[in-house]
Amino acid sequence: MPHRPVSSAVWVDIEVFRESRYEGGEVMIHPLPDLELRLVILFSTVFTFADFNIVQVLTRGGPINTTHLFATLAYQVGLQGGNLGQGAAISLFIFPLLALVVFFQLRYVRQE
Amino acid sequence: MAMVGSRGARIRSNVFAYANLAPYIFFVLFPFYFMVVTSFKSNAELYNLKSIPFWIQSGVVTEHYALLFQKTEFATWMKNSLLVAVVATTASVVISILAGYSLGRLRFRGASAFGTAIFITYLVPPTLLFLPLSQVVVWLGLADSIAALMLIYPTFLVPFCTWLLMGYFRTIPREVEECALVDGATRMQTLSKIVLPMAVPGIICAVLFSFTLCWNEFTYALTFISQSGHKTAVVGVTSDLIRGDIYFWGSLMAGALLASIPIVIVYVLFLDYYVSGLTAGAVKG
Repeated sequence: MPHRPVSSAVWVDIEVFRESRYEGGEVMIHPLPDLELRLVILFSTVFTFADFNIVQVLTRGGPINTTHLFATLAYQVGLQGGNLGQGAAISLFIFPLLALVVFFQLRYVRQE
Repeated sequence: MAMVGSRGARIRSNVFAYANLAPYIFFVLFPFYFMVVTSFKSNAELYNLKSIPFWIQSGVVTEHYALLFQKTEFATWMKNSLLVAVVATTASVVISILAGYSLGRLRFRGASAFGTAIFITYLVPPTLLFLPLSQVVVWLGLADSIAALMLIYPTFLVPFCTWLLMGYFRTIPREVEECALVDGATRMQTLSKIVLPMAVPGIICAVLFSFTLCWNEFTYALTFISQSGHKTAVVGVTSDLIRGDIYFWGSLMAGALLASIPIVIVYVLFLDYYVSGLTAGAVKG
């Protein structure tokens, strides 16, 4: 899933950074805001579940269907096998997870 | 106070900055390096387990490029990709400018609900949509043609660009528009003469991202198109140069390398505009 930025910028307060420099600290890595971190993890997990390209290019789900993800299995069953309904059912298994992401993302966007 | 640091300290901080960047640069550039090296290697060397894969030992060959252009329809794939990317990007950005402006600026019933709906559609992955959409494409009689891609790509480009431009339009001060409106300009005139020139960096950004997304799109391009002459570059290279278990590694890498060049060109071309657009905005503001 290319280019789906979760948030455009993680704000690190530059003053906090400078202060630590004055006090002799070399580098300080500001911890990601908790909510944002959870969101990024959730987001990348779901879009890994929903990935199609990498599996399709590397293994096409093979050998003997051992490396399928939802999308590649749905493609094999639904389009190549011609069983469209069953394919759609397979790909809809992503939906509950996706709904969760949408819920949290919306809450996050509203907060901003 | 921080600037008073000695020369040694400055050098040390520079070294530190570059040392931090180095792993990243290496990580990002290594695939390209490997593509170049592999695409110029002879097959004999490629399949020799004793040779070192990281550089070319037995001379540069161009046979992989020859195979790419003579035995496959690579030139057609590139043309298809370009055509699809340009048409889909143009259409999407035009639609998104209108939609983004309305959602960002105009007050009407349901504006925020629309914004939310667009955001949700932007989160739904193609994985969930390619089966139903493939049926839609068949119904429309567009199966197996690049017109299908031109039609379907905006389904993920428009939400993305609208969301991006909506945010950008909101950063443009309302007062400027109000001046134009008071002077008797219509909404559309205000949009085209006042807002758009100020939003150039945002629009360029939308164009850049859309073009890249179109160019790299794989799922739809693979599932909607089966005829070799109608494929896009990304799909053509991976589907026609991998035959069963046989990988034409040299040509694969050559194709991947050549297919990534347009993106580089577009970025180089537009980043200049992007930066100049940013500074122009700064002076006016």
